[in-house]
Amino acid sequence: MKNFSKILMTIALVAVAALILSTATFAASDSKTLTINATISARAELVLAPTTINFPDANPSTVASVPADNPVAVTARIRTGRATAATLTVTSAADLTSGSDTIPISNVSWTASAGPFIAGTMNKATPQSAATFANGSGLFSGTFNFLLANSWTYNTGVYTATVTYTLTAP
Amino acid sequence: MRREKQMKTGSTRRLIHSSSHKSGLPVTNKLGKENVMKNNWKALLTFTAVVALVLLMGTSTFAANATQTLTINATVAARAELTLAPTTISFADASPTTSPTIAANSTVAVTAKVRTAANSTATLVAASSGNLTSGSDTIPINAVSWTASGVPFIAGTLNAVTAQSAATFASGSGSYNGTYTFTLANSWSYNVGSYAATVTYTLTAP
Repeated sequence: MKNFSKILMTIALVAVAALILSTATFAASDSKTLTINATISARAELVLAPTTINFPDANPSTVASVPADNPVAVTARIRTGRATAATLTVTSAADLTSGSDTIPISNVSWTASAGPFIAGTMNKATPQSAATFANGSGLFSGTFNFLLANSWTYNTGVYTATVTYTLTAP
Repeated sequence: MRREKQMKTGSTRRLIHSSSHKSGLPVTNKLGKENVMKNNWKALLTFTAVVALVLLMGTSTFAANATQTLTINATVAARAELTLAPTTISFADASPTTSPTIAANSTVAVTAKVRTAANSTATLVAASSGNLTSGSDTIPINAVSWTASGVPFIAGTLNAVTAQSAATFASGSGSYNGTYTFTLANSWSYNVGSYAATVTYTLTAP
């Protein structure tokens, strides 16, 4: 009986060894890791089209608010942190001027077609917010429609003003 | 003395009796010469035989043939060696508007050395541990794709779930060199951060 057990043990050991050897002989593999890094920095891109609008002349009695000849399409592309929010403001450096004549820039207002863009009124002293962004990155498109509050007090002339829109991705 | 005399007398008598011959020569002399001749021949034959034997022995000492077989065994096991260089690549920041895809800072040289059976085919797969992550922000790993130069390496796109094939080997063993060129699909939707992911390339020789 002892001899029989020994023989069985030997056979089992040989079988295991053969299995190990056969594994080593018939399959092999090698692995290497590749680390991929990507840097995403804060970015902001703003597009307005067109970049010039005109208010035609109109009778203040019949047209209290003169719409601009074109709406302005706005596209804001933002890359920022997931916990930070971008801002879009409009700054008016001065009133509408025609020689020495002026029309207060605060007579120009706008509406917005969709969020995050918002309606507002120009202000010579304080930059005005033109959008309320949620936190994080994104690409946003909308339209601003501008209006000029009409008045019999305006002197005739061709008036011009420049406003600056600033998109900031903190 | 008496005994000696008897012996001498006896031998003379025997010699006279046995050497009687017709030649007239004394019988005793003739028989002696024949015996000497015979003895000489015998000696010559013996000498020749001894010389021949010595020669034969000498020959057998200085020329011999022997045959042995040598069995030569060689074990060739399945083997796989994979090299990537460099092992880290980086995508720099770029505007998605002007750079919809970003090229990595470096190409990756790949060397695959394979030993397998003539009718077996090695495999090379790329398994991503997950998406590119920066804290809780992620960029899908399938935004990373690659092109390949050099046969049998192939182009592909990383996948967070399924390992992707990176080469199509022919059957049998061989050593292969190529280059992978990685690109990241850029997007305004990515949040700011430093993202990282690990991709494991596994070369298997079945």
